[in-house]
Amino acid sequence: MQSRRLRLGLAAGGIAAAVLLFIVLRGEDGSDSSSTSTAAPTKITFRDGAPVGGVRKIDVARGDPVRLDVTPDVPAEVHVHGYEIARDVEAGQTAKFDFTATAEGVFEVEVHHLVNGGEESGVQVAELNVAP
Amino acid sequence: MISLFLPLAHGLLIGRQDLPIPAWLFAWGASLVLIVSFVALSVAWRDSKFSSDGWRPVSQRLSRLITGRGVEIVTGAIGVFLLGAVVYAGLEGTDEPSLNFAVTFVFVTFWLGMVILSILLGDVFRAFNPWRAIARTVGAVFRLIAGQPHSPPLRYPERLGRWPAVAGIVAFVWIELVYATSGLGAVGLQPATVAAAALAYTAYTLIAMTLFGVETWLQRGEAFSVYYGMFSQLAPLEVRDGRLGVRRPLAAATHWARVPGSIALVVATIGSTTFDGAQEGLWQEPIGDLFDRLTDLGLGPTAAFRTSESVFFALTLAGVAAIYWAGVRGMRTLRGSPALRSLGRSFAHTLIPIGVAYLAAHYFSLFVFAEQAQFTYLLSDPLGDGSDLFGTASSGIDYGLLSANTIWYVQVAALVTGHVTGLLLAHDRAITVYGDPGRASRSQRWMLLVMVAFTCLGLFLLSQSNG
Repeated sequence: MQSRRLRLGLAAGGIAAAVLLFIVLRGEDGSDSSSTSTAAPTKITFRDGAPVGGVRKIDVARGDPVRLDVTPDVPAEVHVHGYEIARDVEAGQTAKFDFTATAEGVFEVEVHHLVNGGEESGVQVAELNVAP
Repeated sequence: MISLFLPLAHGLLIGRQDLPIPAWLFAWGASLVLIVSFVALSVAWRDSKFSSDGWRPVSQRLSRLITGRGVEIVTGAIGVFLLGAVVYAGLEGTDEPSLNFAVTFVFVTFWLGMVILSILLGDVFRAFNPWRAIARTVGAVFRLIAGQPHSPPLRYPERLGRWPAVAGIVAFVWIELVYATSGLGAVGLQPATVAAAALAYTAYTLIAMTLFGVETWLQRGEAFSVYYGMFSQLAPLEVRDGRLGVRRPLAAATHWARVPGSIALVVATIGSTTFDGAQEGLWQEPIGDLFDRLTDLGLGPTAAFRTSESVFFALTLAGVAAIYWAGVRGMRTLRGSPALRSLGRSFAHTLIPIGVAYLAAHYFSLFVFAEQAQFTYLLSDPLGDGSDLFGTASSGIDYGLLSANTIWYVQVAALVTGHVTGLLLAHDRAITVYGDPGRASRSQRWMLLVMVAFTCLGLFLLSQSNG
């Protein structure tokens, strides 16, 4: 009696792990289609303190070129974290990025609104995923 | 609303996260865990190997060289200097968290680095503890003036055990993970907040030490001493009665959890890391939903966000505790088991390796990257004001140093190693608690479920979002 209950518990654990696996495996399949083509630059407009259309996902593989145009409606510094590339632009102008993805990971692209020469805390406009 | 919540790397604003571990590696990791576990079940050694740690002293000369008074004064002075540096940089340095010495030093170099040192070398923090150094200096001065040592006016209530330290650790993590994220953009932890917290904690600690005695408070209430002390139980080195000695690794942990509050401390360790991983993956939407609901009720966005995060932090801690107690309850179904509370304390130490594994898996890459900053520009320009003390101010973090594959393998290896170590300790403990190897093995099916649950949860969190 006792050992049967234990065995049941063990089986339940195994099943739980299998179910977990299944969910994760299935979840992964669906998210593959969102890759952005790297041929044309990804264009992002930043208006009223937020990126139009939400935070953009840019998926590339290591060694791929990353091309990115960010156009804020305020004077700002556009900053690719990790790669530490920053461009200052005037309101309405476009900050153009063209670099090679050399470091793997998930990196933030942020717009820092410039106020009187100093910068305010950044707002994320894109997420750069560099896969191996 | 969700777009408001930026992925903060543990409230530190490093601007980079790990890629989630891919499904195939998750599958391999989880399978490995299950296979290892079933092998562990079938292996049954008859005698407990960890019930005594076999401590034996090293040579008198070596011991004196490492634990002597001169060394203690120097290490204590270093500790006090670093505490002062954190407060000064926090108050006088830049507001930008990633450019101020205080934030990275406290939350990465100290908080994570000291765990590594404690596991490898034992209770190193005791030597560097700034509050211990200050209290002992003041005590020595008092003795000189008054002609007798200060005797603490209050007796520490023993039933409180390590609970004050648990409260301290939870508060520290809450500041890092909840308070730092205001929800209105990537704010990060303000250096001035770190300085204020350090000052407040110093005052609180010194008062408590005066009331209950320095040594008592170090063992029960001083959050960092108790926290690093827990990890130092795994170490092969220990200073006992002023003498340095070598002991069997892991073995000292066996009797660590006898004091009340110990289970809560391990749960807080695992729960904090779990929450940090879950808030950017599993919990992200529920936290957002509760945030929306709270703002509808008229709460300001910052208050709503912190409340929402606090609720899920508490839920996470409760969930981790529930997994452990479910396992203990399961063990209790075996005839002849000790009382629930006593059984719980008997096995709490087996979760310490799981706690280490969680920390290693979640913070390995952050530690490697942030330490590059710590020892280059944060060292040369601690205030972020453009100074260059050691000529390294213009160096940066090389994010190419670790490939995604390296990080993934380290993470999975850490979790599997922690899992195996936990099983080892639990099986060994069961032999002592249950007497014969057969019943020990039967009781261990339950601890096995606990360990599998924690390890798969760890893998699952890393496969969702790898903050």
